[in-house]
Amino acid sequence: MELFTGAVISGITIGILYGLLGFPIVLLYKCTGVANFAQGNIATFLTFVVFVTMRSVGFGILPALGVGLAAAAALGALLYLVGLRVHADTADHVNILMRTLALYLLLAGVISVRWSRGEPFAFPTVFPRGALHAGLIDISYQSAGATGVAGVLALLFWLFFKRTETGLLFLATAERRDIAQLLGVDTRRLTMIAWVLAAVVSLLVGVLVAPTNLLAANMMDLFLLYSFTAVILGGLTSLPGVFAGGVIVGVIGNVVTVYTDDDSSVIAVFGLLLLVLLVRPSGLFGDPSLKRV
Amino acid sequence: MPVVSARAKSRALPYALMAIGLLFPLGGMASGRLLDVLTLGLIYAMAAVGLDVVVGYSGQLALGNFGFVAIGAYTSAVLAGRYGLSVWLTFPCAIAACAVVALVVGLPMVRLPQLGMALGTFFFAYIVSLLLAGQTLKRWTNSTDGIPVPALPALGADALTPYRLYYLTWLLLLVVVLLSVRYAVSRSGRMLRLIKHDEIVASVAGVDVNQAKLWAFVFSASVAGIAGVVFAQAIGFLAPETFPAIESVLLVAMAVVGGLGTIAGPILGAVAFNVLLELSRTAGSWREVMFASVLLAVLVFFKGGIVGLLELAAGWLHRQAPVQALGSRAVGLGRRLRGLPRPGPGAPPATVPPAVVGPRVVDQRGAARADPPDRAADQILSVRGVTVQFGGLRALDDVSLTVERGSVHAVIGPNGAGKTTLLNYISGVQRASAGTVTLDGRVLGDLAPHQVRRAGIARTFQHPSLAPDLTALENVQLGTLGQQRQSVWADLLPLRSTRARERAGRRDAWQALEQVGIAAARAQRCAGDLTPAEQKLVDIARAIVARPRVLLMDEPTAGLEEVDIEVVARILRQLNRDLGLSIAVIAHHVGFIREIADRATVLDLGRVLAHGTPEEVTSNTEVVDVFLGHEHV
Repeated sequence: MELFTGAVISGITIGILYGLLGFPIVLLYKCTGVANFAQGNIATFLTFVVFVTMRSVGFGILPALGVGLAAAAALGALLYLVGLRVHADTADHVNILMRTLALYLLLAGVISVRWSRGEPFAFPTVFPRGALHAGLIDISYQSAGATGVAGVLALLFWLFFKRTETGLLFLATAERRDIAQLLGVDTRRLTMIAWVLAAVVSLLVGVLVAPTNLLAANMMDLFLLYSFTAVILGGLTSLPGVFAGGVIVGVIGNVVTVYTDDDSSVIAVFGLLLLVLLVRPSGLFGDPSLKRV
Repeated sequence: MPVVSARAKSRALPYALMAIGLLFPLGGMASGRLLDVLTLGLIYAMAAVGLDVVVGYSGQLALGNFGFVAIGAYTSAVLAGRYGLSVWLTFPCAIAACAVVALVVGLPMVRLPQLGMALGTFFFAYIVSLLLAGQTLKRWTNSTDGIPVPALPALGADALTPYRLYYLTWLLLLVVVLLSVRYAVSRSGRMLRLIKHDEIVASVAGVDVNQAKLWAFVFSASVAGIAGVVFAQAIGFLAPETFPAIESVLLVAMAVVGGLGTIAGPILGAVAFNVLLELSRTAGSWREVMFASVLLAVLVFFKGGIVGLLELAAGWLHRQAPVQALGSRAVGLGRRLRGLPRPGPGAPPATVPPAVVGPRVVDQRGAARADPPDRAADQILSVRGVTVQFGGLRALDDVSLTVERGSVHAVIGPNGAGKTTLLNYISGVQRASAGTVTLDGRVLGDLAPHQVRRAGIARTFQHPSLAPDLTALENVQLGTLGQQRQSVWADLLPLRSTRARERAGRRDAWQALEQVGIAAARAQRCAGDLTPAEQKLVDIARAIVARPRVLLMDEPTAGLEEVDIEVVARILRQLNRDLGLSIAVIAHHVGFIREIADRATVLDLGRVLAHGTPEEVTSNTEVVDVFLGHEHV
């Protein structure tokens, strides 16, 4: 039972991170119709930027994070301008999806050329070592901190979307892009902001994941699949749903790992994805009334 | 882009044969390493061509097909090496293994449009590489240590020489290409192209969308299985690192760079990729960055890929009108078909050119009014108590409507009244929290759109809903699918039944086009090149070709000029009078409603506001308020 409770709790903490990476995926999908397969590699790329800043320039983790944030904003804007800005209106969704996969390959290529020799690398954590003793189980400061950061970010996003003008414009655009455009919303500017936000969140996820997973070119491969599964579970367009989906994926993945092995755990999550598509393709929190024909 | 791709698709076979023809002498000229590279190129080409059917034609991104190459390769190597099966016999086994796996994992994926297959197959590729390297299947795959591949015994010799392997691969590629082209231009391929254009429209036109997507996926996986067996022969030893998940993405990239939806493009893309990969071996890791950049450039600037560029070049050279090529082939067929007898006595001589009709409409309406009263009282379609909720908004609130047999029933109301939602509900696109549909005394349950169509309710759309790269005739032929029950696999073979069905579908389509007054020459143009009014009429033809019992129409006059509205009104009247077709039509245009409708129902804010004859409801003050705004009172 202790084993089970531990697995569930660490599943929740990692699940919130799946949700956190899934969040910008949903945001971009809602606002621009782009399902961004490059999201995971953006995280890896930016985490490498932070890592290299520390190793080569000799910065500490916090100043290096500052550099990383600036790089994130620049990279987000750059990827949008290079990959998704031009001739996107006349492109079909296969074309758009493949563009994000081209960005995926591009980032992976640059990482492997420049940085990945000698991987995996140990990545420092901003949180203290040791663990929090809560009753029968221990939670490491690293996981607790990661969960805390994710929670704070979720709260900030909530405030941003409900309380700021730009945030409300986002929601309006996500609801009816055509009408928002007619009403004079500069949807291209919003799209640019969405990409910058997506890159910044990716950086934070990467930095939170790297200390436990070790920094490597393929660090986010499985993570991306899990986050996308969370997105589908959450109903594709639901911002709170993706966190719930992430927690479900995290808990199921962790519990299966604890009782069997890692491979079975991945297969279980794949099975969960197929099951949801089969039984409820609109996701647990999506609107099932429009039939998926 | 649409024009270029339309041409390429219509000429898939000659282009593909040209590409393959060029590859035939290459094998004789090359030797050593280059020959091996070319053989690999052909193998990738095979998998990429199969993939094109799913990605290029049905518009579903499949990112796991190299996983099926792996399954094919391992199935062959394990069955031959461990169980002593002849390598030749492993071909059908590999195909079957891939088909079964594709069927099982594909079934859930097709249920979520677009992203379901993209994500599902991306995940699937990861699972395959995980299982190959893991312990679960170690007994067969030997995990990371890998397994040797028993050599294919060539006829008369012990081992296959590189030349023989090249030409065996070439031959298999030829078979795969012929089957894929057949798939692409057959009934099934036309369904896929309509699905790519709009899944909802396809299902309302009678296509079982999920099934069509699934079969295309299974086809591509089976082809990848064949490629896998040859791949195993080419590399001689199987290890997990040969099959990384990302290889599947590269496979799609090859098809994209070559030109999706052309069959020839994926062949060129795959061969070019493998040759360039070999030539750039010294470039080290930078070549990955280069390939990704080329891929991105193609996706952004040259959506047609290599084939698209060749088409452009050919267009400049010949200075010919882009759409002409397709027409020439279809015209010949049309001439032959026009001589065929027309089935059924009800076919009207509807070849009066548009624009001449204005005043006659009134007479026709008078005639229709003279229907015997007992017939008019008979209900063909009855909708009861429909309630549809969108979040906090009630789009439809306990709405009921009855269409009398042989009548034209108008549904009118301001924007947001719920008219289209009601049509969506009846045609099976929209679920409701309450409500029933009764067609001719039979209660229809919760049916999928293509089942509603099969039951006898056809429908047209407000927005352009034809596949723009198919001809008007081919679009109308798609409407006959609801009646046909034939497997995809029969489509691939030139069976007598297949051809007979094709002829029958074509004949019905010609008749339907004639009934809506589309001239034969226009019927052979790509739908994307027709005028908006013509597109509406073709949409109507696609709906009536299946001889529905009720025709639902969503704003047939939207976006049309006055003169074209009259044409549509006349056609509707003719269909109603000559075929006895019952019609429910959403309309805004009050003149149009008065001209064509026998009865009208007014909706406002999801509720029924009034029922009656067009004159009654349009003179009802409450209705006038709703239409003109309450300030007018």
